[in-house]
Amino acid sequence: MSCLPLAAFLTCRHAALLVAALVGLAASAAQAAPHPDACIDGYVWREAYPGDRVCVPPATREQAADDNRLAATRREPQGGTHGPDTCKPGFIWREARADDHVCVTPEVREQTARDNRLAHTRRLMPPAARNGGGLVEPGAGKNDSAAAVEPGPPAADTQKPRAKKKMAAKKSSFKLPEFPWPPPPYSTRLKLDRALLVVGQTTPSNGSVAARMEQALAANGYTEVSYYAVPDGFAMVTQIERIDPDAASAAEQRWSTQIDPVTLIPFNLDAYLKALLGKNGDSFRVIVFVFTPTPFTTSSTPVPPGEAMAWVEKGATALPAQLAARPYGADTVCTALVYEFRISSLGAALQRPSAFDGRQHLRAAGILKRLEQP
Amino acid sequence: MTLTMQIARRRLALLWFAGAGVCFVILLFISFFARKVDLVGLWDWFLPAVVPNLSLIIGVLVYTQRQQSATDMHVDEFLYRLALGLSLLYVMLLLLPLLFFPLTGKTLPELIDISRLWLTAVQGLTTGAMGAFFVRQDSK
Repeated sequence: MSCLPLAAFLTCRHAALLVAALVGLAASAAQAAPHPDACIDGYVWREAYPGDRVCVPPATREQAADDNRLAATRREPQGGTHGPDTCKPGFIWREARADDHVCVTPEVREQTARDNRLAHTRRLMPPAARNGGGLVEPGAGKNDSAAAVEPGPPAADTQKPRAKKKMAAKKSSFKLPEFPWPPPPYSTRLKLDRALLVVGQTTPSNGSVAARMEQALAANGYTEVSYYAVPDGFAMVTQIERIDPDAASAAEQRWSTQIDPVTLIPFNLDAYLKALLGKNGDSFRVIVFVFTPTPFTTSSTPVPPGEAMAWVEKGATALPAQLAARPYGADTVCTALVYEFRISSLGAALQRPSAFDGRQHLRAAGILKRLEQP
Repeated sequence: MTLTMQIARRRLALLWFAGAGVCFVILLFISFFARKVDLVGLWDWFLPAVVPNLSLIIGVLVYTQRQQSATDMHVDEFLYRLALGLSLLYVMLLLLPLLFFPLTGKTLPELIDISRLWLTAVQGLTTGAMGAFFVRQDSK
């Protein structure tokens, strides 16, 4: 009888502990899972309107907050052709979403549109992963964020045209897969001179620069090139190639990552021991050309060699028309990231740092020489 | 000569320690002299593959050392042969990727990944037979 209160006490205490543990577990699980719209390093939500989760640099977010604060002072007090939201001369609607009538300068509006277009490249979790693998059209950042703050389902009569518009947008555009950002640690890098990429072009576009790079690569045997999206730009990836000890492309088995096995008959003990210790390997190289005005560092996680080798397979075959048509900005920088691997019978490993610098790699691959030609 | 429990256990222990020892030496050799190898992955594959059974063998051998009556007991021939056969098969399957990877054209990590499949299956059977042989005989 005397045990009953104790048992009841223990039960209650255990139940309380269990509940506390479960709450703690749930809280930690919620902490561990990133928000679906979480931004990559260096970017924050713009929050130009409630629920605006387009990722922008912190300065842009401050700009949006300032514009919101000054919105009333930039409107015509008596209204105008566009009703009470008519802007004073020199200002236009920001249009962070369709009904965003905050008055801003044309430069800010242009920046806002640009941020909307690039929203998908700045998210930690790609939209493809969140949407179950589907690719989202450029500008979807705007549509996504607008949809996220809509209070309820749209009326039936407006639903159909909207769906049609979405379908049309999806058909007319294609979204590049995203390159790991910031890029994984590389073996070496080279900042390419802008003049090499825009030779003879007064108004270069992303497409023309990519075409010039593709020509330079194709002239040196790189026929498989893939495209990825990076913040404010794009990246081109070459297929993995075997390289000689002088960093030149290998004359034999250039595109094969196979290692020659030791023959059993006749058995060569020296070759066997070399293979056992991984001293039978060759060097391989993947080059990633990143075109972006955004400065970047590297991530802390090295890319597994198998993943880097699959980059060329998983990338897009060409730049989407919309991205290709965009002007190649004066502030856009092309950086060649060289990932050098050593593949032996003991596996593949990234060579960091490379024995050669970026210039030596691109020179030995023949790419620099080709780019230096007009 | 009749096979006593002590002899049977020693034979099994010898087989296991010899097999695990050869693997250990090869991995040690690779750890010291090879460069750019995923050593954690290699040892992570090897240790769980042998440590549980070696612990069982050592534990039973030490425990029964003090019980003279148990060591003179006759063994169940079928259980002994089953444990010995499966142990031999397991040790050979363990050595296979380590000794033959230079001859295959595949990398060691690739072969080790594949070998996990067959090792898991055979390890379950071997541990079961070993446990039945070492432990059940003691409880008689």
